[in-house]
Amino acid sequence: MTLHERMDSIADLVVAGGLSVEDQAEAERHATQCPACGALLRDAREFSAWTKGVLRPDAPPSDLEDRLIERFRAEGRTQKRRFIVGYRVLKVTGSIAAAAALVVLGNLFQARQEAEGQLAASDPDRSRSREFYDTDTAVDVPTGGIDPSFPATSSATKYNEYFGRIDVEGRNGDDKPSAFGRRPNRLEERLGEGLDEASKSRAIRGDSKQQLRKEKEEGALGLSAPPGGKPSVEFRSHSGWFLAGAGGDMDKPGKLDQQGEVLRAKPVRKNDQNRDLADLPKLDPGAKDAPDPGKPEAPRQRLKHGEPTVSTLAVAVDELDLKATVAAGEEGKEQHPSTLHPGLQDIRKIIRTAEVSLEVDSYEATYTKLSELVTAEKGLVSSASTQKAANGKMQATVILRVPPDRFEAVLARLRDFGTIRSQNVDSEDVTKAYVDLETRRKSKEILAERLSKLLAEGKGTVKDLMEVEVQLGATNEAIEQIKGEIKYYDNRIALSSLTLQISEKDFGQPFEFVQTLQANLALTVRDPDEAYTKAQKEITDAGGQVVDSRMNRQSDGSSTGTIRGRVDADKFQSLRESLKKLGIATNDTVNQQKTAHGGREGLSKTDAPLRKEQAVLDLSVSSPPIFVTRRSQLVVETADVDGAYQNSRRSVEASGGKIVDGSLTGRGDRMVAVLKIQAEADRFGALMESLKAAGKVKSAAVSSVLPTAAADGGAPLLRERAEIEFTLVSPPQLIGEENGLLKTLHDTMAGSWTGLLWSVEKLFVGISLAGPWMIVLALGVFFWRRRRKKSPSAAP
Amino acid sequence: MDEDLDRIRRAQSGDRTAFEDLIRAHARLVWASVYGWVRDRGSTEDLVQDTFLKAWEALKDLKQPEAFRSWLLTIARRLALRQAELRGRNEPTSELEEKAARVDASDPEEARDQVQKALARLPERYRLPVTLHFLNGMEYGAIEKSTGLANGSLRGLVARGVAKLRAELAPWWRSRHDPA
Repeated sequence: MTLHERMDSIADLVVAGGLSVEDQAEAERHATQCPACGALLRDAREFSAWTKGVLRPDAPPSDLEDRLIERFRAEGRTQKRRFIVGYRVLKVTGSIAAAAALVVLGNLFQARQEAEGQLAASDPDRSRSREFYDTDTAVDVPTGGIDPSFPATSSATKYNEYFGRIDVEGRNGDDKPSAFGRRPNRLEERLGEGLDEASKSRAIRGDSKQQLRKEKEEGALGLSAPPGGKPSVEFRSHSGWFLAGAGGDMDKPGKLDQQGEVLRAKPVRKNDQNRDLADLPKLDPGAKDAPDPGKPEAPRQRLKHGEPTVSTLAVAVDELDLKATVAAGEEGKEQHPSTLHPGLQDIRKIIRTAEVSLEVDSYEATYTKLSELVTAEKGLVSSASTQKAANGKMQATVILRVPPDRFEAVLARLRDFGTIRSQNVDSEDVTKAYVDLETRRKSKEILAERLSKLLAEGKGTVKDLMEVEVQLGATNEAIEQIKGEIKYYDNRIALSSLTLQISEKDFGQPFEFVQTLQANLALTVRDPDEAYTKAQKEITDAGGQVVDSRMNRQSDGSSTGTIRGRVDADKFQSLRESLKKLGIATNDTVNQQKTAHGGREGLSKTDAPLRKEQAVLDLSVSSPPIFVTRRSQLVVETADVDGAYQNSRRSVEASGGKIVDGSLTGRGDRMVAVLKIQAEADRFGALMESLKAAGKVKSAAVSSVLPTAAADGGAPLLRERAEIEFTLVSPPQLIGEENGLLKTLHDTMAGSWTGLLWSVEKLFVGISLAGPWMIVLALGVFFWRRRRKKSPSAAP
Repeated sequence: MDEDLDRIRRAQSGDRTAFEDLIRAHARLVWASVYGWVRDRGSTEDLVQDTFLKAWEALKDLKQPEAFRSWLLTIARRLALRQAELRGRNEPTSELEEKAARVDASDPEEARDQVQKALARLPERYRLPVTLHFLNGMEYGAIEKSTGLANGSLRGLVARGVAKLRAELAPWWRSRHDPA
């Protein structure tokens, strides 16, 4: 084949340089001379160039080797770590731990959120506080011209509720004496900053969430706004400070300072009497240095650390005259009212209650005197319930309602009525709740008024008016509810409650004693059936009655009868004695109880009458116990063990004996039969003789046991028995036991075989234990490796 | 080859430098082999890396060092097939054929696609030398060295392989070169 003919097949090879240098040169030369071959070669070159060009983007990078080696080295570094057992495990464990930690943190966070949510849910005011935090606007209010101890300041928020109130509460334990007897807490200090700048109308800004949160911890903030109207703001500090500011348009924070006006500010001592805030003297706004007419002369030195105080400040906002108050949270020691401003006494809302336990001679007389007393003190008997004890004594619970100012006097008078056993006086300060209710009522009333106005104007669509009407209804309902609560408080505050527990003397004394008798009597009798019948007859003859009786018989011939009888207490002893004569008493116990009826525990017994209840007698009559007095072991040799065994069984049964156990083992001429026989003691001799007749007696042993004497020294009541262990054996074999080398070999082989079997057994146990784990492990490794292979590797 | 054998043995005994030499010697061969299966540059590089890493892990188990090259290519093929299998699960198989019917000759992407498919249709024994030539731009001598094939057999493979490829691409290629 010439080059020309081959050109078609070698053109690509020529282009690829696949021919030897000589062949290559020849092909090239031929192509220049032969147009057809030249075209073929050109075609091949073009195709080669084109294909290379097309594939160029996918050509390996020039630094492919370097990249691969770099990756190989990097892998080597990590590979070393890979072989450290547990690296991946650590990684996985770490991930799991991190995930678990996240979950735990999440739960904690959620739990906290939920706790806050619950807290908020339990207190509607608190739930609002969150909204307060979520908004972030504060406005300044100028301080009024009041006592610098009460800088007026306000922190309002963009509060997009139609009507709302925010109240944040907290406690601060950092109370130390200062201007008003102790140092102000941090909230107060912050608010106090306003003092320095008071004249410049600077106030404290509560303008960051963090700060508001602080205030939550330290004191209290309250805010309320009538619908679309001006808000009033109240600050509450449980440590006794209070501030308030008001005014401004809720939707335009920052304007508040143009309109707020502080009207009144009062410190109030806890436990003082209430007075309407409206009575508080009005302050002159702007007259900072003017003395506060409502302020005590020198309260600062007199109040001491921890002194509970309530401060009030009334604020005028346009036409509104709203009050804001702060109640001191700490319980302080009592202070004489004279050291405090009289106006402070009005605000207190205290519910006083007392519980007194009184012992009197006569309830009726006491009740009459009590009625007279409460009538004289302008009180009333709220309720009285009586109870008469079995001994005729009275006990009663009487609730008196008396005016608070006569409370102590009535309490003191009670001592004249009898002996006071216990007394518990309590007072509950509901000022905060009360003021809250008042504020809410006023706000709701304003809302209702505005809604009514809207209705009266009749502007807007019917739908709008309907909505206003619905809103008005709801508001009125809320007002009624609040009024109800206020009324309840008013009622409880207006009249203190005095609960009297009145008992007549000896009320707790028993009026009688009850004696109960119960006996357990167990008798052993020779004939239980006869004794059973006789005992029942004895009981009925003694005028008693058989309540329950039954007879049980056992397989060994013994029987037991039980009887429960009731008999008059005075005949109990004689009956018990006569019953004991029926047999030998093995148990004889008497339980006697004396119980006081109608009495109170711990009171001494008196000469109350004794009442005897019918005595209960539990009797049991049973057969004497079985006692084995004779034991015998008899071995008899006979050629026909089987036949002798059967014969012996028959003869035992014929002589009244009882076969307890029997066995026949062995085969051919090497048999053993064993019989355990129980028989009446008096038949022992005859039975032994009949058994001995079975063959040649190899051994015979007899032992006798004497029963211990009865308690009274006489012969005990027993059922005597004899026990024989009878063994029948074949005569000894002439050929001795196998021994010697063969036996040793046999034994060794047997031992070895047993050992082998044991090993195999253990092996299987081992495989069964470890097998599943090995399979699981292998599967785990398999899937892990497969997964690893499948996942596309990351580019370097 | 003796030099290669020495490197393989040293690598088997844990000499990483020797293995790095082996990487240098066979990287492009493996690239060509893998490319024939996956037809994607990024995946090819990943698979080449995986092939060598796997080879390093399993090198100690290689009983015949002289069969290193084919052993290496087997690893590469398995990895490539596995990846293709994984991809195939997410790609409809008829897609390639549908695309082929709507080829645009002026589009270089389509051209590459055509060439890749034609390469993929080549029997494996032809594909490797042909790929080394067109993709890696290797001349005959380099291919011979890289594949370790004897001159005669390689010559036949290259000649027939290129011819087959041309035959596969002929209609499409001609339409590109002779638009009239």
